[in-house]
Amino acid sequence: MSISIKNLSYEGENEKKILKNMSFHVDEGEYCFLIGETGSGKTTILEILMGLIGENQLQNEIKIFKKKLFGKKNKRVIQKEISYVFQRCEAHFFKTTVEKELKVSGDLEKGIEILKLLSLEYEEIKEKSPFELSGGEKRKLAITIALLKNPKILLLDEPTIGLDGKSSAELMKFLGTLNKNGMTIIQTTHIMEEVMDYATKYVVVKGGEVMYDGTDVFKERKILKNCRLDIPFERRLLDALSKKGFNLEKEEIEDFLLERLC
Amino acid sequence: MLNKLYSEKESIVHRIDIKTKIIYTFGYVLSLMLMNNFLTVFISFIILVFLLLFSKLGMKKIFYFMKTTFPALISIAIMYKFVLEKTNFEIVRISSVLIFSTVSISCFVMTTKVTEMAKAIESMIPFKKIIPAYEISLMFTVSLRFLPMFIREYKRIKKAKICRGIYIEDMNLKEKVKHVLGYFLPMFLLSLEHAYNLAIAMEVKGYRKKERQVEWNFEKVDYIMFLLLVVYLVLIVGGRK
Amino acid sequence: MIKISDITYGYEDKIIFKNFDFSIKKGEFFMVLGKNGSGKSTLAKLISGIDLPTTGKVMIDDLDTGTDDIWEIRKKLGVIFQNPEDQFVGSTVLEEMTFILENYDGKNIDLKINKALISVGLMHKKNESINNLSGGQKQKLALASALLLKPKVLVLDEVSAMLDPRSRKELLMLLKKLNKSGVTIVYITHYVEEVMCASKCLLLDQGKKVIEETPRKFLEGNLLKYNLVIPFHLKLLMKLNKDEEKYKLENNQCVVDKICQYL
Repeated sequence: MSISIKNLSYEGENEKKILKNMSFHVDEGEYCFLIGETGSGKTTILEILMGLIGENQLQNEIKIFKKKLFGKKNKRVIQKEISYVFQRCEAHFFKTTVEKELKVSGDLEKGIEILKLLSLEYEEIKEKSPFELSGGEKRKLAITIALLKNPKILLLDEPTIGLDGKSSAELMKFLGTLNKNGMTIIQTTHIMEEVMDYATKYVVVKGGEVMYDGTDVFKERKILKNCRLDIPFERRLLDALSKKGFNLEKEEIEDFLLERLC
Repeated sequence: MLNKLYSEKESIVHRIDIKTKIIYTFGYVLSLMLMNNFLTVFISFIILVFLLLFSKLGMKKIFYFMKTTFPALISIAIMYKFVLEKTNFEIVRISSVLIFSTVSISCFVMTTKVTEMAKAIESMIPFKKIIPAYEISLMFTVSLRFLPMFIREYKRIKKAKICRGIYIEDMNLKEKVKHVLGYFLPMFLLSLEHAYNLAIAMEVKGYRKKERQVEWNFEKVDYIMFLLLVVYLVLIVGGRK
Repeated sequence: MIKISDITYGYEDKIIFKNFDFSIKKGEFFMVLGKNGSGKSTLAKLISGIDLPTTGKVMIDDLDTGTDDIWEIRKKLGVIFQNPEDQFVGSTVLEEMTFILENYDGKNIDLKINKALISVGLMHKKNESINNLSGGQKQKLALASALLLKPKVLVLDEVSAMLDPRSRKELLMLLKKLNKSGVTIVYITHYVEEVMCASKCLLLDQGKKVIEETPRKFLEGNLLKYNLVIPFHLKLLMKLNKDEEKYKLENNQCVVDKICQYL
């Protein structure tokens, strides 16, 4: 197991209980989606996993790569293997040009390659300030910087928010490929549509508690409803069709229906 | 942290108009300079006790603010005694001035909502045709509104540095100073962006330069407070040797 | 209602609009889509009078943003922006609402505020600190404060970009209701599924009109070229509804059931 969380509780400011006795684990190579509304505690979980908060409160039950996430030395060792991309990616930038940002993060050549995979032309943006880039470009740059660290685990906090449809789809495809090549990814979201194609594990969070931990969240209609999460159209259609005896893949739906109904 | 500054209780002091409170606190602190014998110190002390009683503030909170003055207090006391060789009374006097003024100002701060303070300051600034009082108080209010956001952003940048493997606590002073720029740049740009967006939002909501009416809304309580202030000042002046 | 005639607009060395014409009729729910840099946000600023065109005129209900009193225009036109964090001056809901009325006229303040808050469903948060509101609630507050002056036009610049799907739907429902009661809506977005609420859609690219049609015809255009992704369910519905409108998009489950019915 890459990441194992047992009985995690966390109190924020004003003694407000943010996480209540959570337990779940993520194996190596999984693409785990932490799903829940804003305020359910998903970002807090990621920050704790990265060792950014929770110094005095952890019950000492979080193990990453079989090491306990506790104590300065241990934390540093673990933090080397994890990368975290914030929702507000401006926080990651502190150099005056894209070129400097990449140089200070690691191998420039590799950085250019990754940018290309994310369909960003390095030559076009290298002289620009990272703060000048558009929302999508900033995200892609932040992810590139995170990957230059060569992490084993990638933590992403709602990476597609604010992106247009095409950038969003491109980004998810990129992350999916990354996962297939061995990267363990934990990503928070509340957009159910993007989850379907890539997830190997779902953890649904509400009010700081784990509501669901498994591989097929869409079966649990009640839980989804309780957490105010939608079921994507494709999924509803696939389920309804399989009830009628037609077991199809997502790609086959369109042709199938056009044939039958027109 | 800012939330801790205001104590949510219903007391007489809470209800007094802010302008009165400002003038009263100001007057009280100034009057502390007039103390020059045990009687005057005692009178000031009694007033303070009454103030605390009427504002229903817990001693715990008061102590929290007083804690900040202890280093100064102790160093001044030591200096007075051993370096300047002043009398014991002088030491008591200066300590009282420090303690009483801190407590009374804390009392004021804890019974006044920040937003009201801005309005009060605006109405008390003179020469409104020359000094843009409304704009100053608006700047005050708006900056206060953005303060939590900037604190959040600062924390975020700090965390992002850790994510990059930059551990500031391990660095020596020279390197730390170098990294300060790394904070300054994003926060500066961020504030520009916010300022720009806010300016547009304000313009769209009809904000523009205009003549503001000044209103001094005084009620009975305020007149009584003024009378008490005068009485107190008289006592202090009269009680001097 | 809104008429843009032959405008040119740019800054530094970049020209965004050149000899651009554009008009919106009264009562329309007009959507503007396009990728980043296409000029849609600039268009919103030009319509709201925040920026003025270098040449040409922007007319709101026969008032010229360049020459007539901008404050009169602002009474008729409310604007709401993308970032919920940046739009507010006050620290509580009540303070924010009072700010606008203080700038215009001070009669019946309480009544007007209550009415606006009720219409967006935020009455129970009247004394709440703005920092405690969720993103969706903040945008609703921005809408409520824009409604205080009873505007005839509302311009919304990508207001749903930072919201979760539920809040986005709620906001659109509110806007639809307002549109039905006569308010002209100019809505800028890049989420293609939102076009179903519109009465007319415009696709902008580099300051030029590419498609200006009803939502149905709009969806038939080559949107992917302009970075717009048509969601699966809309694509499917369009193909199924080619000959006759058998499947209406009310909610997802209804459509699914109907499809199964016909199978």
